[in-house]
Amino acid sequence: MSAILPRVPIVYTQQTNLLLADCDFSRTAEPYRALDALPAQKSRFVNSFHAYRDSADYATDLHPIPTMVAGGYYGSRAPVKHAVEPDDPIELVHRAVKALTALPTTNRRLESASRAHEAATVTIDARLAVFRKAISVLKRFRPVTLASFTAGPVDKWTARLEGFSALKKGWDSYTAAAPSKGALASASEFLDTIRELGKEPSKLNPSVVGGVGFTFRRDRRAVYIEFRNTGNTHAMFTDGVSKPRVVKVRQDRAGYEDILALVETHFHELPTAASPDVP
Amino acid sequence: MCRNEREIDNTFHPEEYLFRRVPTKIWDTPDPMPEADAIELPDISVGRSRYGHPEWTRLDPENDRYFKSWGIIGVKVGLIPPSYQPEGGPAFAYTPSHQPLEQDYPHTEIQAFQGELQLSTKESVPEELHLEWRGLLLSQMEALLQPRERRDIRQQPPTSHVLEPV
Repeated sequence: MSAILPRVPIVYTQQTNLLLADCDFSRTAEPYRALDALPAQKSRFVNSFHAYRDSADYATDLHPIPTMVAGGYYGSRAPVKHAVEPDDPIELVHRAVKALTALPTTNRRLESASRAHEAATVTIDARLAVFRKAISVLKRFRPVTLASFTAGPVDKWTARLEGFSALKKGWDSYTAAAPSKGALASASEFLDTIRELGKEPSKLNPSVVGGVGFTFRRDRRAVYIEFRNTGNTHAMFTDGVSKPRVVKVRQDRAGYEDILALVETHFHELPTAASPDVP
Repeated sequence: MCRNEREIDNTFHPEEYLFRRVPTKIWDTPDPMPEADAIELPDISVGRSRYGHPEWTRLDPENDRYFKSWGIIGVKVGLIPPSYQPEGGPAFAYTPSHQPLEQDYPHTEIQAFQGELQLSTKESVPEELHLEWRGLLLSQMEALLQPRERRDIRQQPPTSHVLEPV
């Protein structure tokens, strides 16, 4: 019978950890489990195991982290729990394996968590950079205000117009002057008139010649109204075919209403004979 | 392209293109063309197809800047409105002039003249004519690079004034 008894590995000394790690526990455990059918032999085996254990250089407990054993951080006064020495050698083997693998597993998890933290930090940094860049682009274009995000079809023009005050000379990379306060004020009054009449421009831009330009466009027909830094305002009517027609705009409420009426008229004029708009 | 002591070349082929970059502030997708607010006068700084590709105009070598998302518009020299004379007023003439810079040899300007006198300020042209001429010039222009259109910068200069395929 002794021939089938497995040689119990020396698992209790710290010096033999490597030996334990090299053991094939499945081969060790199977014959032992077979002893369940033979209680007398099993008892003999267990007794011999205990005898061996008691005579061995004995250092059973593996305490990887004292604070974990204590069950808390920073010296919390959790009752100290002492591991109960199991009688079953297989259970001891299981505990030893668990203890030996717990630390690498923990280390691996900690390392993984550490990498995840770094990855998360990188992602957050990248997103912050994108957000900062977006804000800087928006700031160059217009002040970022609540109105920038919530503006309706008319208010968005107001927000855009206000943004032109942040432009500096050379904003077009050449020599364009920023719109003057006077031009911005006149454009703002014109925008009020547009709003009150229920109209809406197609475009509102700073002009490279210095000023503010409104464009009203319907297909090929367009009216461009420019408030110059010089204090003058002109409107240019184009139809994509004939020569542009320019008229001076009177800068008061009546003048603005007149020019907006002309815009409507221009959009509803029949195309000229030379125009490809004619079917 | 640096000047490198190259000579001024004021010979313009009528089919030669003049290029100008337009900020995305005032011309962005999906608009096919910018409006008159993108056209300056006088002394409009442009590039020229004889010595540069359209995408080169996105570079500002004098200030070491690159506007990679800006659109490029162009006009053939032969289509620049050459002169304009309002009823009872003086005649204004417009002509391209090669003005190479040390770091930007293709740099050219469309200049305005009243008789022999070069008009160097915006105020020197009556505002109605100013806007009308800009409208005329815009009507002759075409979009050569749309805003945000990606285009690698060619390293070799053009071999002629004709636009070369990419």
